[in-house]
Amino acid sequence: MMEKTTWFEKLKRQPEYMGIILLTAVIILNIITQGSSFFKTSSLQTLLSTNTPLIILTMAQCIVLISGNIDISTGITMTLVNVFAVMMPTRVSWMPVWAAYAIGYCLAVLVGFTNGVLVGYFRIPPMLATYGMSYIVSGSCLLISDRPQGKVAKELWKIYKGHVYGIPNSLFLVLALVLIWLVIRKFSAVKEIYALGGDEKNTYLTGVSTTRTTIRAYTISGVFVGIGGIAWTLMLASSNPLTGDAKTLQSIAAALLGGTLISGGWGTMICGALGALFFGLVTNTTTYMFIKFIPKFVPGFSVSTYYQDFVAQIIILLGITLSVLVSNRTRKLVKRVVRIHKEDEQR
Amino acid sequence: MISRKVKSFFNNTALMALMLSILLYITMVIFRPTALSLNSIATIFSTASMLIFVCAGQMIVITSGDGIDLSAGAMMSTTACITVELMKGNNEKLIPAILVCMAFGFIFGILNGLGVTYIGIPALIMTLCMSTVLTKLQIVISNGAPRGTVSKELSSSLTTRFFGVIPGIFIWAFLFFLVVVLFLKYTKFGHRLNLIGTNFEAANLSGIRAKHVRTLAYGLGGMMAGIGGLVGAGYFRQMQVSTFNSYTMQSISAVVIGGTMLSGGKANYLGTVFGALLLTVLSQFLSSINTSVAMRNVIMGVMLIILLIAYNRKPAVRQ
Repeated sequence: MMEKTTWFEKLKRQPEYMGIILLTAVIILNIITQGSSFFKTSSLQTLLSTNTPLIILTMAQCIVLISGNIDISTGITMTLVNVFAVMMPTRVSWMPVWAAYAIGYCLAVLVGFTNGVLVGYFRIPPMLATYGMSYIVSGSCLLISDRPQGKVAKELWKIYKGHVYGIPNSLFLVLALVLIWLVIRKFSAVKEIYALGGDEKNTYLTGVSTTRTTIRAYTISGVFVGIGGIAWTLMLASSNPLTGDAKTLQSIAAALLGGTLISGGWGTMICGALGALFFGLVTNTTTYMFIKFIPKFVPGFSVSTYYQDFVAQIIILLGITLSVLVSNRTRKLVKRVVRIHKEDEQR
Repeated sequence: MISRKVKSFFNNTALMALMLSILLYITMVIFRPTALSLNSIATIFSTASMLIFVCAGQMIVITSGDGIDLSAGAMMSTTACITVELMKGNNEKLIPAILVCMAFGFIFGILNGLGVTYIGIPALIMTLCMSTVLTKLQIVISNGAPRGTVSKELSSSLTTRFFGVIPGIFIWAFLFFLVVVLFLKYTKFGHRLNLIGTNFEAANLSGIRAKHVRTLAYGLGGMMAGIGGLVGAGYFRQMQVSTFNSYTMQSISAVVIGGTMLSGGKANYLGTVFGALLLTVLSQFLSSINTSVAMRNVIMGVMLIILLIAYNRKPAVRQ
């Protein structure tokens, strides 16, 4: 018989455990340094609307990481959606704006699918396959537009940056995606992705097509990257072929911070969202710490912004170390518990 | 019999990379006859040589099994910044600069290795974070923009062209690579490295301190990237922050195109050299036929994927 566990012990066995703890810690730190202005609608609004693209991108990265692969073309694919949606209506006269958004979105899904085919069917190491893909996508971006330009209609980005009863609209978008995740995680199609990440050989032996499962994981990722791209477009309110690429590496780091393991089979999309929020908040916190908090106690204290970045990077590195350590341990623990239960049932 | 010979020839990745680079060069000459000059050959040689330093380090890390060093490019940029800040055009500082660059690369490489082996962070993430830390560190070291230059003697020893074709940097790279290959082939460390790459557990059980060896491999990888940064700074004379960051992916591509398996344990020394050559010729080719940067990126990506499909496929699950 399974003994009754408290909610905390249950939480401890979830992949989200470390992500929640890190996020709580950094929020507390932020409130200490920033004071009550943290809760102001405008500051919450800015925080969420700037970080939503990263959150969605990290969620997309998570599903690929769960399948035991990696995708380093997500950031640039997001940029492709952005550039296509904003620039195409000005380049091609007959294309209405909604069609540009729709086609841009489909392109993101297509890129995800192609990545899946390259990794699953052709069996190229995922890192290099998606790296080659990122070259192709960035070339296509530059073909459409080679510099930041264009603008999004005000009505569109006003919706994204607006708020309802003090709750930013971008938060609703994230919550909707989390809800989608909570629904799809119940399907066997997604459970197969977990199996693939856990053990490729055993998955194959149980009769699941590893090729098709890999392609599925990358396509789901593409679907999310497309949404991320639209959010990114609304956030920028213009097109920029240059800055999106940096988000890829941030999203991988954020996924790990949330508790997803790069070895596969462990983590959820919620982990990604938590990690990405942590990532966004750390920079915020260090800025406030160096500009407002420390000078309060040490008069005349001032450092260059380089040091702020440096400190933020170190905090992130430490966070990742901690998170990976804890996730690895939890995963082993859960595996052992599952095995013991099975042996009990067999007896 | 003949078909088998043909097949084994096509399976020899090093030779194929060489053949492809020669073919590409010939096509380049056909497209633009001016490319057939000693000057352009020398440019290809020196660009490829610069890549070889960091490729050697990357090869060692990849051979150690499940390893990859994404901080190699950032390491090159950092040591390049250190070099110009330290030398400031003074040749007497050459020896200290070399020592500092090597030590710096080694220490940060070891940190990578410790994170990967003892803490258990995946190599990809550990080195990725290290590369962001290093990028910030460069800015801290150089206050935003490095001001010094390297000494004239160093840069002239790298850029002088013997017989009009062979640049000094090529000779240095050749000697360096020879030392690395001899070291890997004829020392205990080299054998152990191959062993832990092939089967970490078995190596551990046979009494090799596998974790030590792997950590050292990262240290050596960092050190070689450090030397690469010094040489790159010497070649370009002046530096900017994160000049060499693109070398991370170039080095990985060169090593993989050359036939070194990403899963580890199987290094292809000659392949790495020709992989670097192929990448350099490819980018020269694309810039010579007057394509836009955008088109060049697309072609580069397609070529990379085709080469990977041809040479670096993982075995199927059922095998």
